[in-house]
Amino acid sequence: MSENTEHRSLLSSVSDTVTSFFRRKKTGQKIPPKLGGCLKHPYGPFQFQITSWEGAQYDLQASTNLVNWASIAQGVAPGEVFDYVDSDAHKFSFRFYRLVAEGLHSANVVGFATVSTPPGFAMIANPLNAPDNRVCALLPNLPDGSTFNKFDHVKFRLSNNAFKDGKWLNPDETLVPGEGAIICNPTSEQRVLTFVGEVMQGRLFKVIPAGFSICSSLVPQAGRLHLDLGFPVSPGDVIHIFDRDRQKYVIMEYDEKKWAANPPLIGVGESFWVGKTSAANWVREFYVTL
Amino acid sequence: MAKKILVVDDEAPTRELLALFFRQQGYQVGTLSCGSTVLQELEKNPCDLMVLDVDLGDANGIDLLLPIKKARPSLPVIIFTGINFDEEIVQRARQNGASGFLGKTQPLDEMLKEVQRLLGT
Repeated sequence: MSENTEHRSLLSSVSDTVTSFFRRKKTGQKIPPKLGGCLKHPYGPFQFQITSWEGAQYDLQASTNLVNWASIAQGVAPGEVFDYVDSDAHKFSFRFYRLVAEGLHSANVVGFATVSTPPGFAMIANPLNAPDNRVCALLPNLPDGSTFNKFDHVKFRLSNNAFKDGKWLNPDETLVPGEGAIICNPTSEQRVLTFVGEVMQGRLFKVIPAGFSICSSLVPQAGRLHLDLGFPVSPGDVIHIFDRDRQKYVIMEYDEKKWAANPPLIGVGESFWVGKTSAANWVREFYVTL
Repeated sequence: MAKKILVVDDEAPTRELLALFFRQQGYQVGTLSCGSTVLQELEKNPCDLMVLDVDLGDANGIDLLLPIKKARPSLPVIIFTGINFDEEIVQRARQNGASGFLGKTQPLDEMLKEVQRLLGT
Protein backbone atom coordinates (compact mmCIF):
# COMPACT_ATOMS: atom_id res chain seq x y z
CA MET A 1 0.00 0.00 0.00
CA SER A 2 1.48 3.38 -0.95
CA GLU A 3 1.74 6.23 1.51
CA ASN A 4 -0.98 8.16 -0.35
CA THR A 5 -3.33 5.21 -0.38
CA GLU A 6 -2.73 4.65 3.34
CA HIS A 7 -3.39 8.32 3.97
CA ARG A 8 -6.64 8.22 1.99
CA SER A 9 -7.66 5.01 3.71
CA LEU A 10 -7.07 6.53 7.15
CA LEU A 11 -9.07 9.65 6.24
CA SER A 12 -11.86 7.52 4.84
CA SER A 13 -11.93 5.44 8.01
CA VAL A 14 -12.08 8.56 10.21
CA SER A 15 -14.81 10.00 8.00
CA ASP A 16 -16.85 6.76 8.21
CA THR A 17 -16.54 6.73 11.98
CA VAL A 18 -17.73 10.33 12.23
CA THR A 19 -20.63 9.62 9.84
CA SER A 20 -21.51 6.54 11.85
CA PHE A 21 -21.44 8.53 15.08
CA PHE A 22 -23.83 11.14 13.75
CA ARG A 23 -26.00 8.58 11.95
CA ARG A 24 -26.51 6.50 15.08
CA LYS A 25 -25.56 8.16 18.29
CA LYS A 26 -25.74 11.90 18.36
CA THR A 27 -29.47 12.10 18.97
CA GLY A 28 -29.83 8.57 20.19
CA GLN A 29 -31.93 7.88 17.14
CA LYS A 30 -31.04 6.25 13.89
CA ILE A 31 -31.14 8.39 10.78
CA PRO A 32 -33.11 7.03 7.83
CA PRO A 33 -30.98 5.26 5.25
CA LYS A 34 -30.23 7.09 2.02
CA LEU A 35 -29.98 5.78 -1.53
CA GLY A 36 -27.85 7.31 -4.26
CA GLY A 37 -25.05 6.81 -6.74
CA CYS A 38 -27.40 5.37 -9.37
CA LEU A 39 -25.98 3.73 -12.45
CA LYS A 40 -27.77 1.81 -15.17
CA HIS A 41 -25.34 -0.46 -16.91
CA PRO A 42 -25.68 -0.72 -20.69
CA TYR A 43 -25.99 -4.50 -20.40
CA GLY A 44 -29.02 -4.25 -18.11
CA PRO A 45 -28.33 -4.22 -14.35
CA PHE A 46 -29.12 -1.20 -12.18
CA GLN A 47 -26.70 -0.35 -9.41
CA PHE A 48 -27.00 2.07 -6.53
CA GLN A 49 -25.43 2.85 -3.20
CA ILE A 50 -27.10 2.38 0.18
CA THR A 51 -26.01 4.40 3.18
CA SER A 52 -27.34 3.12 6.51
CA TRP A 53 -25.37 1.80 9.48
CA GLU A 54 -23.25 -1.26 9.82
CA GLY A 55 -25.22 -4.28 10.93
CA ALA A 56 -28.59 -2.77 10.00
CA GLN A 57 -31.16 -5.40 9.14
CA TYR A 58 -32.66 -4.17 5.92
CA ASP A 59 -35.44 -4.99 3.53
CA LEU A 60 -34.95 -3.63 0.03
CA GLN A 61 -38.20 -3.07 -1.85
CA ALA A 62 -38.95 -2.40 -5.51
CA SER A 63 -41.96 -1.06 -7.37
CA THR A 64 -42.96 -0.17 -10.91
CA ASN A 65 -45.86 2.10 -9.97
CA LEU A 66 -44.74 3.61 -6.64
CA VAL A 67 -47.87 2.18 -5.03
CA ASN A 68 -47.26 -1.55 -4.72
CA TRP A 69 -43.90 -2.57 -3.30
CA ALA A 70 -42.29 -5.99 -3.21
CA SER A 71 -39.33 -7.11 -1.17
CA ILE A 72 -36.42 -8.01 -3.46
CA ALA A 73 -33.60 -8.46 -0.97
CA GLN A 74 -33.15 -8.77 2.76
CA GLY A 75 -29.96 -8.86 4.74
CA VAL A 76 -27.62 -7.21 7.16
CA ALA A 77 -25.70 -4.12 6.06
CA PRO A 78 -22.05 -5.13 5.70
CA GLY A 79 -20.94 -1.54 6.27
CA GLU A 80 -22.32 1.96 6.45
CA VAL A 81 -22.11 2.29 2.69
CA PHE A 82 -22.63 -0.61 0.34
CA ASP A 83 -23.71 -1.18 -3.24
CA TYR A 84 -26.69 -3.10 -4.49
CA VAL A 85 -26.97 -4.40 -8.03
CA ASP A 86 -30.37 -5.38 -9.38
CA SER A 87 -29.58 -7.93 -12.05
CA ASP A 88 -33.29 -8.25 -12.88
CA ALA A 89 -33.49 -4.60 -13.93
CA HIS A 90 -33.34 -5.48 -17.62
CA LYS A 91 -36.81 -7.01 -17.28
CA PHE A 92 -38.36 -3.60 -16.57
CA SER A 93 -38.79 -0.34 -18.46
CA PHE A 94 -38.77 1.46 -15.14
CA ARG A 95 -38.29 0.36 -11.57
CA PHE A 96 -38.00 2.20 -8.29
CA TYR A 97 -36.32 1.22 -5.02
CA ARG A 98 -36.66 2.03 -1.34
CA LEU A 99 -35.15 0.51 1.75
CA VAL A 100 -36.55 -0.25 5.17
CA ALA A 101 -33.91 -0.74 7.86
CA GLU A 102 -35.17 -1.81 11.26
CA GLY A 103 -38.48 -0.05 10.69
CA LEU A 104 -36.95 3.10 9.21
CA HIS A 105 -37.81 3.91 5.60
CA SER A 106 -35.07 5.33 3.42
CA ALA A 107 -35.19 9.10 3.14
CA ASN A 108 -35.53 8.81 -0.61
CA VAL A 109 -36.52 6.55 -3.47
CA VAL A 110 -34.28 6.01 -6.47
CA GLY A 111 -34.78 4.28 -9.76
CA PHE A 112 -34.40 4.20 -13.48
CA ALA A 113 -36.71 4.75 -16.42
CA THR A 114 -36.07 3.87 -20.03
CA VAL A 115 -37.78 5.77 -22.80
CA SER A 116 -37.77 4.32 -26.25
CA THR A 117 -37.56 6.68 -29.20
CA PRO A 118 -38.39 5.36 -32.65
CA PRO A 119 -36.95 7.02 -35.77
CA GLY A 120 -38.29 10.57 -35.97
CA PHE A 121 -39.78 12.69 -33.23
CA ALA A 122 -40.79 11.88 -29.67
CA MET A 123 -41.92 14.02 -26.77
CA ILE A 124 -39.83 13.05 -23.78
CA ALA A 125 -39.50 13.95 -20.12
CA ASN A 126 -36.93 13.35 -17.44
CA PRO A 127 -38.98 11.49 -14.83
CA LEU A 128 -36.27 11.37 -12.13
CA ASN A 129 -34.29 14.08 -10.44
CA ALA A 130 -30.67 13.33 -11.33
CA PRO A 131 -27.62 14.82 -9.59
CA ASP A 132 -26.98 16.65 -12.87
CA ASN A 133 -29.99 17.42 -15.05
CA ARG A 134 -28.07 18.99 -17.93
CA VAL A 135 -28.46 17.32 -21.32
CA CYS A 136 -24.72 16.57 -21.44
CA ALA A 137 -25.15 14.43 -18.32
CA LEU A 138 -28.62 13.00 -18.98
CA LEU A 139 -28.12 12.17 -22.64
CA PRO A 140 -24.37 11.98 -23.16
CA ASN A 141 -24.38 9.68 -26.16
CA LEU A 142 -26.91 10.29 -28.88
CA PRO A 143 -26.50 9.69 -32.59
CA ASP A 144 -25.07 12.64 -34.48
CA GLY A 145 -27.83 14.84 -35.84
CA SER A 146 -30.18 14.25 -32.87
CA THR A 147 -32.10 17.39 -31.94
CA PHE A 148 -33.53 18.47 -28.59
CA ASN A 149 -36.06 21.27 -28.41
CA LYS A 150 -37.83 22.76 -25.42
CA PHE A 151 -40.59 25.32 -25.81
CA ASP A 152 -40.09 28.82 -24.52
CA HIS A 153 -43.62 29.94 -23.75
CA VAL A 154 -42.48 33.54 -23.36
CA LYS A 155 -40.70 33.79 -26.72
CA PHE A 156 -43.34 31.45 -28.10
CA ARG A 157 -40.90 29.24 -29.97
CA LEU A 158 -38.74 26.15 -29.58
CA SER A 159 -35.19 26.36 -28.32
CA ASN A 160 -32.53 24.96 -30.59
CA ASN A 161 -30.16 22.29 -29.39
CA ALA A 162 -28.54 19.39 -31.23
CA PHE A 163 -25.96 16.67 -30.81
CA LYS A 164 -23.22 17.15 -33.40
CA ASP A 165 -19.71 15.74 -33.70
CA GLY A 166 -20.11 13.86 -30.44
CA LYS A 167 -21.24 16.80 -28.32
CA TRP A 168 -24.18 19.05 -27.54
CA LEU A 169 -24.39 22.53 -29.06
CA ASN A 170 -25.76 23.71 -25.72
CA PRO A 171 -24.52 21.15 -23.17
CA ASP A 172 -25.82 23.16 -20.20
CA GLU A 173 -29.47 23.09 -21.23
CA THR A 174 -31.41 21.26 -18.55
CA LEU A 175 -34.37 18.93 -18.49
CA VAL A 176 -35.82 18.66 -15.00
CA PRO A 177 -38.84 16.62 -13.89
CA GLY A 178 -42.03 18.41 -14.91
CA GLU A 179 -40.53 19.78 -18.12
CA GLY A 180 -40.64 18.25 -21.56
CA ALA A 181 -38.85 18.36 -24.87
CA ILE A 182 -39.20 17.24 -28.45
CA ILE A 183 -36.34 14.97 -29.40
CA CYS A 184 -35.52 13.68 -32.85
CA ASN A 185 -33.86 10.36 -33.46
CA PRO A 186 -32.26 10.78 -36.89
CA THR A 187 -31.44 7.11 -37.34
CA SER A 188 -33.62 4.40 -38.82
CA GLU A 189 -33.50 2.37 -35.61
CA GLN A 190 -35.32 2.48 -32.31
CA ARG A 191 -33.15 3.97 -29.57
CA VAL A 192 -33.55 3.81 -25.81
CA LEU A 193 -32.88 6.73 -23.48
CA THR A 194 -32.18 5.87 -19.85
CA PHE A 195 -32.84 8.20 -16.94
CA VAL A 196 -31.68 7.51 -13.38
CA GLY A 197 -32.11 9.46 -10.18
CA GLU A 198 -34.44 10.22 -7.33
CA VAL A 199 -38.21 10.16 -7.29
CA MET A 200 -39.53 13.61 -6.44
CA GLN A 201 -41.53 13.60 -3.22
CA GLY A 202 -43.35 16.04 -0.99
CA ARG A 203 -45.72 18.80 -1.93
CA LEU A 204 -44.85 19.05 -5.60
CA PHE A 205 -45.82 22.14 -7.47
CA LYS A 206 -45.64 23.14 -11.12
CA VAL A 207 -47.04 26.30 -12.67
CA ILE A 208 -48.81 25.68 -15.95
CA PRO A 209 -48.96 29.01 -17.80
CA ALA A 210 -51.87 30.16 -19.90
CA GLY A 211 -51.38 29.36 -23.57
CA PHE A 212 -49.24 26.54 -24.88
CA SER A 213 -46.40 24.84 -23.05
CA ILE A 214 -44.76 21.43 -22.89
CA CYS A 215 -44.92 19.67 -19.56
CA SER A 216 -44.74 16.31 -17.87
CA SER A 217 -45.59 14.66 -14.59
CA LEU A 218 -43.32 15.52 -11.66
CA VAL A 219 -43.73 11.94 -10.48
CA PRO A 220 -42.64 8.97 -12.59
CA GLN A 221 -46.04 7.38 -12.85
CA ALA A 222 -48.09 6.46 -15.88
CA GLY A 223 -51.81 7.00 -16.01
CA ARG A 224 -54.81 9.10 -16.86
CA LEU A 225 -53.68 12.68 -16.99
CA HIS A 226 -56.37 14.29 -14.88
CA LEU A 227 -57.56 11.37 -12.74
CA ASP A 228 -54.35 9.53 -11.86
CA LEU A 229 -51.76 12.26 -12.29
CA GLY A 230 -53.90 15.08 -10.92
CA PHE A 231 -53.41 17.46 -13.85
CA PRO A 232 -55.53 20.61 -13.36
CA VAL A 233 -57.75 20.63 -16.41
CA SER A 234 -60.54 23.09 -17.19
CA PRO A 235 -63.00 23.64 -20.03
CA GLY A 236 -61.30 24.90 -23.18
CA ASP A 237 -57.95 23.23 -22.38
CA VAL A 238 -56.39 21.21 -25.18
CA ILE A 239 -53.83 18.43 -24.85
CA HIS A 240 -51.58 17.38 -27.73
CA ILE A 241 -49.97 13.99 -27.24
CA PHE A 242 -47.46 12.94 -29.86
CA ASP A 243 -47.90 9.36 -31.03
CA ARG A 244 -44.24 8.52 -31.56
CA ASP A 245 -44.95 5.28 -33.39
CA ARG A 246 -47.28 6.85 -35.94
CA GLN A 247 -45.45 10.23 -35.91
CA LYS A 248 -48.63 12.22 -35.48
CA TYR A 249 -50.51 14.19 -32.89
CA VAL A 250 -53.50 13.00 -30.93
CA ILE A 251 -55.40 16.13 -29.97
CA MET A 252 -57.80 16.00 -27.03
CA GLU A 253 -59.89 19.00 -26.07
CA TYR A 254 -61.20 18.77 -22.53
CA ASP A 255 -64.71 17.44 -22.33
CA GLU A 256 -65.74 15.88 -19.05
CA LYS A 257 -67.81 13.12 -20.63
CA LYS A 258 -65.40 12.30 -23.45
CA TRP A 259 -62.43 12.27 -21.08
CA ALA A 260 -64.29 10.01 -18.65
CA ALA A 261 -64.57 7.39 -21.40
CA ASN A 262 -61.37 8.11 -23.26
CA PRO A 263 -58.92 10.08 -21.12
CA PRO A 264 -55.43 11.19 -22.22
CA LEU A 265 -52.94 8.56 -21.07
CA ILE A 266 -49.41 9.65 -20.28
CA GLY A 267 -46.47 7.27 -19.98
CA VAL A 268 -43.42 7.51 -17.75
CA GLY A 269 -40.84 9.71 -19.45
CA GLU A 270 -43.42 11.21 -21.79
CA SER A 271 -44.22 14.89 -22.14
CA PHE A 272 -47.13 16.56 -23.86
CA TRP A 273 -48.33 19.94 -25.05
CA VAL A 274 -51.00 21.67 -23.06
CA GLY A 275 -52.98 24.67 -24.23
CA LYS A 276 -54.42 26.22 -21.07
CA THR A 277 -57.16 28.80 -21.18
CA SER A 278 -55.86 30.19 -17.90
CA ALA A 279 -52.80 29.54 -15.76
CA ALA A 280 -53.05 26.87 -13.10
CA ASN A 281 -50.91 25.03 -10.58
CA TRP A 282 -50.30 21.33 -10.93
CA VAL A 283 -49.99 20.24 -7.32
CA ARG A 284 -49.33 16.76 -6.02
CA GLU A 285 -48.84 15.60 -2.47
CA PHE A 286 -46.65 12.62 -3.10
CA TYR A 287 -44.90 10.52 -0.49
CA VAL A 288 -43.72 6.94 -0.73
CA THR A 289 -41.20 6.72 2.08
CA LEU A 290 -43.31 7.55 5.11
CA MET B 1 -31.48 26.74 -53.18
CA ALA B 2 -33.87 25.36 -50.57
CA LYS B 3 -37.55 26.04 -51.09
CA LYS B 4 -39.19 28.16 -48.43
CA ILE B 5 -42.33 27.18 -46.54
CA LEU B 6 -44.31 29.58 -44.40
CA VAL B 7 -46.32 27.92 -41.61
CA VAL B 8 -49.12 30.09 -40.24
CA ASP B 9 -50.75 28.67 -37.14
CA ASP B 10 -51.59 30.24 -33.79
CA GLU B 11 -51.24 26.86 -32.07
CA ALA B 12 -47.61 26.25 -31.12
CA PRO B 13 -47.65 22.41 -31.12
CA THR B 14 -48.32 22.06 -34.82
CA ARG B 15 -46.52 25.20 -35.97
CA GLU B 16 -43.32 24.43 -34.09
CA LEU B 17 -43.23 20.73 -34.88
CA LEU B 18 -43.89 21.33 -38.57
CA ALA B 19 -41.17 23.97 -38.68
CA LEU B 20 -38.73 21.56 -37.05
CA PHE B 21 -39.76 18.74 -39.34
CA PHE B 22 -39.60 20.69 -42.61
CA ARG B 23 -36.22 22.18 -41.66
CA GLN B 24 -34.89 18.69 -41.13
CA GLN B 25 -36.18 17.78 -44.58
CA GLY B 26 -34.03 20.54 -46.03
CA TYR B 27 -36.58 23.31 -46.48
CA GLN B 28 -36.26 26.86 -45.24
CA VAL B 29 -39.13 27.55 -42.87
CA GLY B 30 -40.75 30.72 -41.63
CA THR B 31 -43.48 30.78 -39.01
CA LEU B 32 -46.26 33.16 -38.09
CA SER B 33 -48.60 32.82 -35.14
CA CYS B 34 -51.27 35.22 -36.36
CA GLY B 35 -53.11 35.98 -39.56
CA SER B 36 -53.00 39.76 -39.49
CA THR B 37 -49.39 39.99 -40.68
CA VAL B 38 -49.50 37.29 -43.39
CA LEU B 39 -49.68 39.70 -46.32
CA GLN B 40 -46.84 41.89 -45.03
CA GLU B 41 -44.73 38.81 -44.41
CA LEU B 42 -45.37 37.57 -47.94
CA GLU B 43 -44.22 40.88 -49.33
CA LYS B 44 -41.10 41.03 -47.13
CA ASN B 45 -40.13 37.37 -47.29
CA PRO B 46 -41.64 35.59 -50.27
CA CYS B 47 -42.15 31.86 -49.84
CA ASP B 48 -42.72 28.94 -52.19
CA LEU B 49 -45.55 27.32 -50.25
CA MET B 50 -47.78 28.28 -47.36
CA VAL B 51 -49.40 26.08 -44.73
CA LEU B 52 -52.33 28.05 -43.36
CA ASP B 53 -54.47 27.15 -40.36
CA VAL B 54 -58.22 27.73 -40.51
CA ASP B 55 -58.81 28.93 -36.95
CA LEU B 56 -56.22 31.62 -36.39
CA GLY B 57 -56.79 33.66 -33.28
CA ASP B 58 -57.22 36.95 -35.11
CA ALA B 59 -58.41 35.77 -38.52
CA ASN B 60 -59.99 32.98 -40.47
CA GLY B 61 -57.60 31.16 -42.80
CA ILE B 62 -60.28 30.51 -45.42
CA ASP B 63 -61.09 34.22 -45.61
CA LEU B 64 -57.39 35.08 -45.74
CA LEU B 65 -56.97 32.89 -48.81
CA LEU B 66 -58.60 35.46 -51.08
CA PRO B 67 -56.16 38.34 -50.46
CA ILE B 68 -53.24 35.90 -50.39
CA LYS B 69 -54.13 34.45 -53.77
CA LYS B 70 -54.77 37.93 -55.12
CA ALA B 71 -51.27 39.01 -54.09
CA ARG B 72 -49.56 35.74 -55.09
CA PRO B 73 -51.83 33.80 -57.51
CA SER B 74 -49.34 30.99 -58.12
CA LEU B 75 -48.48 30.38 -54.47
CA PRO B 76 -49.60 26.92 -53.36
CA VAL B 77 -51.49 27.17 -50.07
CA ILE B 78 -52.27 24.12 -47.97
CA ILE B 79 -55.14 24.59 -45.59
CA PHE B 80 -54.59 23.10 -42.19
CA THR B 81 -57.63 21.80 -40.42
CA GLY B 82 -57.83 21.00 -36.73
CA ILE B 83 -59.97 18.48 -34.99
CA ASN B 84 -63.21 20.02 -36.24
CA PHE B 85 -62.70 19.12 -39.89
CA ASP B 86 -65.80 19.40 -42.07
CA GLU B 87 -66.67 19.21 -45.73
CA GLU B 88 -68.03 22.74 -45.88
CA ILE B 89 -64.65 24.14 -44.87
CA VAL B 90 -62.97 22.12 -47.60
CA GLN B 91 -65.42 23.37 -50.23
CA ARG B 92 -65.00 27.01 -49.25
CA ALA B 93 -61.23 26.64 -49.16
CA ARG B 94 -61.22 25.12 -52.63
CA GLN B 95 -63.37 27.97 -53.94
CA ASN B 96 -60.95 30.48 -52.42
CA GLY B 97 -57.94 28.86 -54.09
CA ALA B 98 -56.52 26.28 -51.64
CA SER B 99 -54.18 23.79 -53.28
CA GLY B 100 -54.38 21.07 -50.65
CA PHE B 101 -55.61 20.04 -47.25
CA LEU B 102 -53.94 18.60 -44.21
CA GLY B 103 -55.30 17.55 -40.85
CA LYS B 104 -53.34 18.37 -37.73
CA THR B 105 -53.55 14.74 -36.67
CA GLN B 106 -52.11 13.36 -39.90
CA PRO B 107 -48.71 11.64 -39.79
CA LEU B 108 -45.76 13.85 -40.64
CA ASP B 109 -44.78 11.82 -43.69
CA GLU B 110 -48.22 12.44 -45.22
CA MET B 111 -47.70 16.15 -44.70
CA LEU B 112 -44.33 15.87 -46.39
CA LYS B 113 -45.82 14.04 -49.36
CA GLU B 114 -48.38 16.80 -49.86
CA VAL B 115 -45.68 19.48 -49.67
CA GLN B 116 -43.44 17.56 -52.08
CA ARG B 117 -46.33 17.09 -54.49
CA LEU B 118 -47.09 20.80 -54.58
CA LEU B 119 -43.47 21.91 -54.76
CA GLY B 120 -42.43 19.23 -57.22
CA THR B 121 -39.48 18.33 -54.97
